[in-house]
Amino acid sequence: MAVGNDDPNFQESKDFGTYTYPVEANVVTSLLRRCEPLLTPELLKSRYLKDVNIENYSEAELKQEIELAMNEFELMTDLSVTRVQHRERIPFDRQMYKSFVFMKLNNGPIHSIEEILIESSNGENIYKLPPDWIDMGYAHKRQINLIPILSIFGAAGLKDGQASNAGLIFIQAVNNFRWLPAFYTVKYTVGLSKKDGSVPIMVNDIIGMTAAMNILSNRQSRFIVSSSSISQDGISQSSSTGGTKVFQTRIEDMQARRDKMIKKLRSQFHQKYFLSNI
Amino acid sequence: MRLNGRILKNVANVNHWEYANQAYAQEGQTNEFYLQLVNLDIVPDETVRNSLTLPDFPLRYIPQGTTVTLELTFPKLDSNENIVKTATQPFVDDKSIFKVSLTSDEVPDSGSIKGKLTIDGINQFFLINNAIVVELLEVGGC
Repeated sequence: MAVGNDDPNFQESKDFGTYTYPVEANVVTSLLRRCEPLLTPELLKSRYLKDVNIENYSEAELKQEIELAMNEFELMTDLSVTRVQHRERIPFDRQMYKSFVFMKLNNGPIHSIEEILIESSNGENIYKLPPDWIDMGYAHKRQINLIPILSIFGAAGLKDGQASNAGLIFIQAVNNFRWLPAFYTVKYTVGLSKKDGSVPIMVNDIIGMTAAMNILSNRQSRFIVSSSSISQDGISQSSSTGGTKVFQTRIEDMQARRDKMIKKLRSQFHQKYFLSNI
Repeated sequence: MRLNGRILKNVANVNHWEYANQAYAQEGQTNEFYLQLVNLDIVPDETVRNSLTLPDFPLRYIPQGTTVTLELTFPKLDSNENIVKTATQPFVDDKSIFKVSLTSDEVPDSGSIKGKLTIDGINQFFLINNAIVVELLEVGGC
């Protein structure tokens, strides 16, 4: 359920147009399952904790571990597991403005743009940019551009759906500035799936490994005896285990694999930018 | 009292059902599931209490009042698309069990369910985490 300061306004969304994952996929079949529902305790145990005794965890606590892992995933990757609508203020930069109003947003991958406004510092809507101009070609990498259909930003700008020259005059006036802070307001939706509650399988994999590592780390601390021996009349027997590190190899294997997958995932949805004003 | 709900499966009658971690719904068909109201603060058998915060087997809660309504919300990002259903009490002999039916057009998102229990005009709210798994027909991309 949307909870925020204003109407999310999904009726006028400009969509990315293709699937979020696989990136830029236009048509897919269900022959290969690439997406699945959010991780459940049963899947967690089946995939990552087979033959591990975790009877001291209630099912609700396993759900909580999954939740923690999801939040950890979002922090590590800077991606949203479920869709979130953001409202961001972007500065005006004349060089980026001339590059078809190049905008780099903080969050992604972007599903849709609900609106791009030129908004004053007191929240007044000065000019609403037409959705037709918004180019979503690189939205999955958090980049959007404006490619005006008209030769310049319109013989008449559009303000709240009504033709008006006021916006055009304003835009031409700001062209004299090199930089203005918090100039545009962009309302947009991000997430790893168009259908909330369904995620790419590899996202579930990363979340599952993260949760399993936490559980195994907790679990192995109970093995306080690492070795024992007994001897009598020259006959002896001894045994040793990993002790408090009994699951350490498994944890390290999962960590290495998880980190590799995070890197690969980030490369699909992130792009490095180098921007500066000289 | 910490009110919450436990999902039930294989519900045949008032004496025959099992606890489940989540309800399963299939896209494209009607779905129904059952849940039992519970009080997380009371665990009848201390020997099976494995968590103080989130016990596995809390005591069931039977709402007592003249008018009792349970409303479940399946949240969506666009709140206009939220699925809000009023649950029914299918068993006269066990008023802690409720049933919800979803039509084939009502496809919730996998995840949590919000509950609102109203007893004689007084509301109590709860959230069942990771309560429903929706199996989609289109799984090649998302």
